[in-house]
Amino acid sequence: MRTLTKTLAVLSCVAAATVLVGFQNKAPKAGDTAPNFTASDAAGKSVSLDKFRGKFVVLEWSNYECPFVKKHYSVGNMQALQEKYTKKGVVWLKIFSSAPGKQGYYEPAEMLERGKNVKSFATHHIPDPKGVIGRLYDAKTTPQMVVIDPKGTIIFEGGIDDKPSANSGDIASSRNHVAAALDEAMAGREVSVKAARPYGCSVKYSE
Amino acid sequence: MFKTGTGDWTTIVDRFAAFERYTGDMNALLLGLVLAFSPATATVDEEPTVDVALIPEVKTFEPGKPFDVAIRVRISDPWHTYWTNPGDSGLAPSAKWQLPAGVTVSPLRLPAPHRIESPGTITFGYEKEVVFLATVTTRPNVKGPLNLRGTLDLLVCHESCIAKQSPLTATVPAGKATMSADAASIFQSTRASLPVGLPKDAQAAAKRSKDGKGVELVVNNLTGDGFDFFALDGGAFASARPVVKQAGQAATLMLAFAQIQTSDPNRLKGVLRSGKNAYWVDLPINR
Repeated sequence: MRTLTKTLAVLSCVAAATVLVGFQNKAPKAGDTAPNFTASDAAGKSVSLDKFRGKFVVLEWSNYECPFVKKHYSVGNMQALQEKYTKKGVVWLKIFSSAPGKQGYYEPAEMLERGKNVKSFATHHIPDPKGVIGRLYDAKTTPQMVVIDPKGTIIFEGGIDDKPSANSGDIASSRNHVAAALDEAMAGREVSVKAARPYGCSVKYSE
Repeated sequence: MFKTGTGDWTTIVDRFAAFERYTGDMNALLLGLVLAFSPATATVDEEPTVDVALIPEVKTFEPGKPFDVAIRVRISDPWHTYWTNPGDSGLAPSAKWQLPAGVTVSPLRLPAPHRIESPGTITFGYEKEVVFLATVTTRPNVKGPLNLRGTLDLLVCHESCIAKQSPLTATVPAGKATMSADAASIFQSTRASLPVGLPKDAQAAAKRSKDGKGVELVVNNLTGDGFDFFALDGGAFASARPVVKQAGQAATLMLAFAQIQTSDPNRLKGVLRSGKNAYWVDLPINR
């Protein structure tokens, strides 16, 4: 029953986020304030984007079975990014917007287990089975990335790098837009690439 | 389906919530309970069957004379693969070749795509069967038999996505160029599916819309109905179906810019569909 109460709490948070979507008819762009959301992470902790003001935040949309996500996880590329930047104080939120029964949907316990198995350094793993956060940000693909600065402004959104492929061999020769945006912003410089075309599998939203 | 206690409740409560919203009715709530416990109401797909064949148009080739090859792709239902611009997600097909010295293969020529819609995403691609064409060029000193070897990389998706690598192999003896009778019909139908230039008496022009949200493509004197447009540059244009206004012989297609716009185009390039016909369009965008 405790689990049920927890689930109901998650649902009420999701409902609150739905209200926000009602006012938001266009997806946020680089330069906009990142729209807030509140959700329960896979461990049952409440996560509110607003609470991370003062820190850089990275949003990563994921689905471990997607070949494009595998491209970055099979060779440790995504984990290395997570480790490097969370050690610098960045909050990394990995969001799963797949609907129940679809590829990339995990029950919370399984989500934590899968995170451990891939050696994820994400700060929170967030189930979004109704696609509320995904639709709020108009996330189309996995992986898809958003970088938010300490003021809560989006400084980058879109594809993780400039080589839209499912081949890990392409990583070495590609420009990682997330690392570049964080490095530039942390050094007080203007972010040179603020948007990149997202590439990957579609987010498996609920109907 | 039921691996953890937590998960069971999440699934059931979520489904209750959905049913409650739609009906608010007690009977539906009971139906929801039944659905929640019945196995496999929604499951991840099985793997698709993808069958790829490399078919030369000639039985024997004459060194120095180019010839075409077809790459026929058959995909089991309900899976699909993608066009050059895959749309919101997906990946364009790509062929890599290992060829003898003096032999080159052109980039693939792809038929006009279809729009494939799923919740939250629109992609451009093909279902069931699609055939790509390419041209093989040989230097006059190339000796037969010619071994064409390559790999076709496809991303095949339905609910889930699978990266498929298929070998491309064909051996063509040298001699006087002779067409293959078996292959004639596939080349004929594939060529008919490739976009062509606009007819001479048709006119087309593109200009930025007044609200700055997209580009208006105006087409005159082009018969057919059911206009649609597939932009090559997915970084500039959204994948949504354009809004079409038709007035007599003129049709205006309103093409919206992409939500995450990564390029500011000065030309409009893509495929214009008009009923069963498909045309290549490459126009300056007037401001």
